[in-house]
Amino acid sequence: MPANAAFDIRRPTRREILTLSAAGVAGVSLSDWFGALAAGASDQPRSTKSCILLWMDGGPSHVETFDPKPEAPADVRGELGAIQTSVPGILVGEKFPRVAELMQHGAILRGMSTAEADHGRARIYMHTGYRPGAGGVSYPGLGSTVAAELGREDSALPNFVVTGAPLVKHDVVRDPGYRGPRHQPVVLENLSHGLENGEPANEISEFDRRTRLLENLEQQFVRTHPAPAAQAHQTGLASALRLIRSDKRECFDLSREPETSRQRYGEGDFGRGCLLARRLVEAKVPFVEVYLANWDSHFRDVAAKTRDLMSQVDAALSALVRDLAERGLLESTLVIWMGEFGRTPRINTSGGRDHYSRAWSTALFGGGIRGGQVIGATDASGATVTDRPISVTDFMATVCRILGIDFEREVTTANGRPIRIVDKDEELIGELLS
Amino acid sequence: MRKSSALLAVAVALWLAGMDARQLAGAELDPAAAAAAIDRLLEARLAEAGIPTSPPADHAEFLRRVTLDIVGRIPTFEETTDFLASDEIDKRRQLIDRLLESPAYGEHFATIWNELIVPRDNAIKKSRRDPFTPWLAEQFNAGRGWDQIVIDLLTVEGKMGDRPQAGFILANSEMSEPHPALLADATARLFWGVQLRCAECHDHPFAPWKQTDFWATAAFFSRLRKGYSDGKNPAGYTLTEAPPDEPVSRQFAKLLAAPGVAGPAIVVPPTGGKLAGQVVHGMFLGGAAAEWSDDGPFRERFAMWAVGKDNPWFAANAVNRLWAHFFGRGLVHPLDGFHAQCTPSHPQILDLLAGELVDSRFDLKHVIRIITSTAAYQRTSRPVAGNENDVDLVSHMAVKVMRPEVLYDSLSVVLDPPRPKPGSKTPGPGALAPLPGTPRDEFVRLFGTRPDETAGSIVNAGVPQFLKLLNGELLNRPTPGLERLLAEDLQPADAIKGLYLSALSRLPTAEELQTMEEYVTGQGDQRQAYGGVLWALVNSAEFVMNH
Repeated sequence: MPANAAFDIRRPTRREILTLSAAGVAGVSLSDWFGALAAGASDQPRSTKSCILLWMDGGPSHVETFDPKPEAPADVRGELGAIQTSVPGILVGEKFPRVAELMQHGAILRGMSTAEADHGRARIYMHTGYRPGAGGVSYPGLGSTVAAELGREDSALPNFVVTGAPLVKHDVVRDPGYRGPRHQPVVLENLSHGLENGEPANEISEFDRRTRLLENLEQQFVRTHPAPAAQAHQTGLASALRLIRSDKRECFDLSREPETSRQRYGEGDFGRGCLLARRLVEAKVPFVEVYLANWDSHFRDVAAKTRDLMSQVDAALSALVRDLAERGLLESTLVIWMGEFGRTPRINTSGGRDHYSRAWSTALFGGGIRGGQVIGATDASGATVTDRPISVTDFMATVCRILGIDFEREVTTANGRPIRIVDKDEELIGELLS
Repeated sequence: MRKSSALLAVAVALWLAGMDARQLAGAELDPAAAAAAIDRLLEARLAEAGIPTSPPADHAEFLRRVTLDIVGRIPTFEETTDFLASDEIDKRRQLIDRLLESPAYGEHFATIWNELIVPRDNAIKKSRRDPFTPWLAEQFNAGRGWDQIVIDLLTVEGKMGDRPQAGFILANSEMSEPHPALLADATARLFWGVQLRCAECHDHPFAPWKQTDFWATAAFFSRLRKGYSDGKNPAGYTLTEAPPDEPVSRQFAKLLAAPGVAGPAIVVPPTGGKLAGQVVHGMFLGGAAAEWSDDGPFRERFAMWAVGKDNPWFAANAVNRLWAHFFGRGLVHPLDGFHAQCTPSHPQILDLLAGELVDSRFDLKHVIRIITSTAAYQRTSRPVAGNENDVDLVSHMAVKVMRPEVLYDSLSVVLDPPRPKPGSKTPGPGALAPLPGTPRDEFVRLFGTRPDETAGSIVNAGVPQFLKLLNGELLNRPTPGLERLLAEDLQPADAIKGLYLSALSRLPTAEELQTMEEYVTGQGDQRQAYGGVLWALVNSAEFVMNH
């Protein structure tokens, strides 16, 4: 009912203090401080990591991807075989030949065991690390957390970009929870449009004239009304104007990539999304989420179509890991492949597989993890975890640790409740950390 | 008459008979007198804290704020100029009355309550037709008592197609079955301001609620079931209370108390922590264990208690939510923070307003009249030296963020102003035009994230939203409002004043006028020039904030 935007009232970082003081009442014009900050902050050495989340919406079958069971009966194994990878002894599904060549950079977590098998709830659980609705709090997804913890308040590019998400269905991706609007993602619904509304509607000279009028109004209002909501508006407006004026906006324009690289990633939206993710990470964007939907293979026809999704993943993920390695960015970029759960080991009577959260797999590449290993194991049919079970909090805490985020820190929500970044009772997956 | 509704009628009669004569006689205070009492209490606290108050808001500031707060949009150009020109002594009081009489009042509060009751990702919200919001609007506009509205929400039975008030129960369903745990949570949170949810799985960490309190509330909903009265037509679904020993539904069979248990009861599901599998008996929250000697139904008795005078939170929560709506922060904060040890910022004001709500037979408009008549509500939002950091003593008005619906309707007022009715200077009610090419639902989706209602945060300040307003088509093409202004062929200064009055409900300062005139005269094309002024005004914090 009421409204105030006093979000995330944690202690401000040094950078935020700088921004706040620059934006304060000292009479510095907004255009001046945008300029000063941009100049001062642009080419600092890279001190933090980035994360690319490849979200497999609907839940891929672990048995057909990263936990193949070539010895199991046909109604478990399915029609697909298993192939060797660059790491002796590690097998993956046969649709991943190019990813298999890069296994030395990756780790497969075969002991995921989570307790939510409903799409909506599991999607929230695996994005936020908290059960939906727990404690009546709206939790941020991993992207908003990373944007808040590692993002640069003064960067021209957004700190969190999402592409490929069917927005109407999935508010969870763009809900920043208690982190507030500053940590909402920029969502690109259609990659061929590039950044939506990124281009000024007028010539740049006219845009500048209008913007000066606007900045005058903004400055005057915030001076007379120094309330959190007004300040949040000023900060948001400043970010938007920085983005509009920055030549880094080019990152969103995939036509600047050579034809060959677009082909390597694959011409579908997922391939293009991964290519965009690489371009954004090169420009130091800390979090990019690329959606690939339609893994919900209850029936034979959908299951057949997931083969094509696997091939899309194979092309895009392998191109992404190779490109990041070539550019010296793989060590500082964690690539996560995951959905909201796995699928029943046994093929059902409709020729598909149903939701399954007791045992399933995720895969991580880069980010400085110890690659070339499988962590955890399931039984002969992929039905139960026999070794090294991993809970959602274990997973989230480990991802945070890899990215250099203090996951035990308590963030104070707008209504004054302290919430840990990752819920307690976590156990780090030490095998990954070098 | 069905057994349950007959019982309800009896219960209502008993309850009314139990109220003292003062209440039935309508012994509520005059709004101005109640407002003055509240101001004395506020000022005493401020004086004690040594915090100065900001001066009163001028007429323009008051008009914009109270219009936004009551009818959910900024005032039109005509409303602003009429109000500023009027020399009636009590024009503020008259304005409050006029706004409360407008159908837009009920629509605005129905939108707010619909958002609280029906989460945005709920299936009902996605369905093409939502009968619930119009029903709520009708109740608010008719001035129906808040207690009666809530009784309707909690006790609804029968064919869903004829019962729009079923929205509350349907919203708290899972796999399209009414869900006792969700209903207990929503009832406590929305109607009592009590956060019981944490106690679903364990004892509450920051309030004295025990896990049994949660399930004892849920028990009253354990027999609620959805049936299929006439085939598969969704409008033919019925809500009924299952008789004892009859299964409620396939899905929630597990939640039904074992046969032979007297009174309302529930079996705690496996997710219920240390209570899992146990039978919990229905009990009024915070009360003693009740003896239930009959077979029910119990939901009506629960509803009567939920809104009755033995419930310590119902009236207090209602006025606290209104207070937060108008002042940006509740007397009890957060809004779901009511419990035995909670410390309201101004306990006497909470008591006074709750008493007024009860004495006026739960007339929400009466409480709104009181709140908006206070000097505190009518103070400027500009802090003065010494009160800048005050957030809960109400030394100056808070700056509030517009809800996405309000932003949409306010943009509509500026870009395509409602035309006056023939023969009248003022626009007809409900005359807002949809923004060209921008459906309201889609706009609301982009500009509002899931509301964190306890914090009162509605979001509209992320980069995508800014880009949409700065560079999107909406504010970068000719609009009917601008065309009408151009057709009047005004001098630049007058046109600029018109734009300020339309968008910001005030005149420009001399300095602003000069800056804008310089910009306008530097432009060749008038359409572009005034479009530029409007673009700057509408993108400013001053426009998108309620201050």
